[in-house]
Amino acid sequence: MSKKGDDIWKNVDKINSELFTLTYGSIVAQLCRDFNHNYHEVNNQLDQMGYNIGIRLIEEFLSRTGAQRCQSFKETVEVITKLGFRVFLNIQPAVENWSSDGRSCSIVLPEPNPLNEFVEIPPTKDLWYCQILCGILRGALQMIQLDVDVNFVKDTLKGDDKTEIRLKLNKILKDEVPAGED
Amino acid sequence: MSSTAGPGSGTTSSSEEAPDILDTQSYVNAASLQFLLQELVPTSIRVSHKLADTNTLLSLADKDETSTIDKPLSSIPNDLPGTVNVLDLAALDQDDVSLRVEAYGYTLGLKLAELLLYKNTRFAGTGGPGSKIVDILDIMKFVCRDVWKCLYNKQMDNLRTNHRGTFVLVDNNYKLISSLSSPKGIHDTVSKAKVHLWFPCGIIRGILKSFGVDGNVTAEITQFPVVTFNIYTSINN
Repeated sequence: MSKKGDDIWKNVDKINSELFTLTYGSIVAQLCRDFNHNYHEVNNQLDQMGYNIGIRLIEEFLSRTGAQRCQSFKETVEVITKLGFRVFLNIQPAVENWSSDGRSCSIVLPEPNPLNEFVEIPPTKDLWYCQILCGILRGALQMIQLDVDVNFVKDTLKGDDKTEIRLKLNKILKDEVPAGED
Repeated sequence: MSSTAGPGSGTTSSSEEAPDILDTQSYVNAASLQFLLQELVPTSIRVSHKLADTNTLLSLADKDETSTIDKPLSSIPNDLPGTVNVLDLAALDQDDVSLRVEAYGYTLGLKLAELLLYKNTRFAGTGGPGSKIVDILDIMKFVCRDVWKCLYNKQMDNLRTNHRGTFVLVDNNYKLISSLSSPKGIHDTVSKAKVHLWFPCGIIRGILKSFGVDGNVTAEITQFPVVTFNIYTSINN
């Protein structure tokens, strides 16, 4: 699957990762100023942006990769890290810490990554600088009938030893025809 | 604390001197930036809307909340994830939203100029101009070539000046708005696309500022998706 990720990556339009980093930084900084450093509000706005992006991004992802239905949540997470992150951000996070029931795991982002490179944040426990990623993952997974909790548990910007996103599969939604549209 | 070396790298220690991080060029998918920029205007509207609410100081979040498919993103009517109803809000023309979008671009422009100048001198041999920038016309050429190339993988299509400090830059297919389309027709598309243009205006103003030039930048959609940027400076050239 990594090989497939490499092949797809070769054929996408690319831009400087610094441009992306600076753009995202400019957004977060502005949100912090707008909300007078109420970081919960900043997190929520980033999460919403991400959620909206995820809902649209899944289509681009499926058409780029031609990914098929996954057989298990493990496979889904593998596709996310080896194809999703690879094709959009050119990084390949590690997957760790599977729970025994196979319904939750951690994605560990490599350092530095295109979101947090060159970044320093004020000393606060509240701001999750890369929160947009959680929104994106949750939104994209929702579109393929997976109800998943996604949130940060660790961030190197706050002095943690790694940047870690926790995923927990709540339930697999049923394909349902909306009422009156059969 | 001690894990400054990237996981699984191990190559940095073998070279005598770690290469400057700015000497290597890394890339991300252009679509990622496009997705991010598409959310700029809706977010600005939501932020403005929220801050305009007089009770806002009481209603600001005191905890993190996660977005779900059926939860509205703001108190704006029908603002559900995946929809564009937020753009229908009359607030779209409000100065507050425009200023906010412009500010995103401005802070980016300030930093982008530095980054590109540094890279251009380093990579002078690789096709970048790497030339000296001595007067205002050079700065405009820098915007047209280097900045636009970095942002949109293309150059600006036309540059005109009256030699009295006014410049007109034309992009015949402006990427940020070229994929926008309203079901209500081209008129609606143009009126909603306008506010997006404050972002590149802010970028250009930020670039000028980083060269010490105060300018006034506006943009108009002459014929969708052709965009004309008008730049007024007080410098005679």
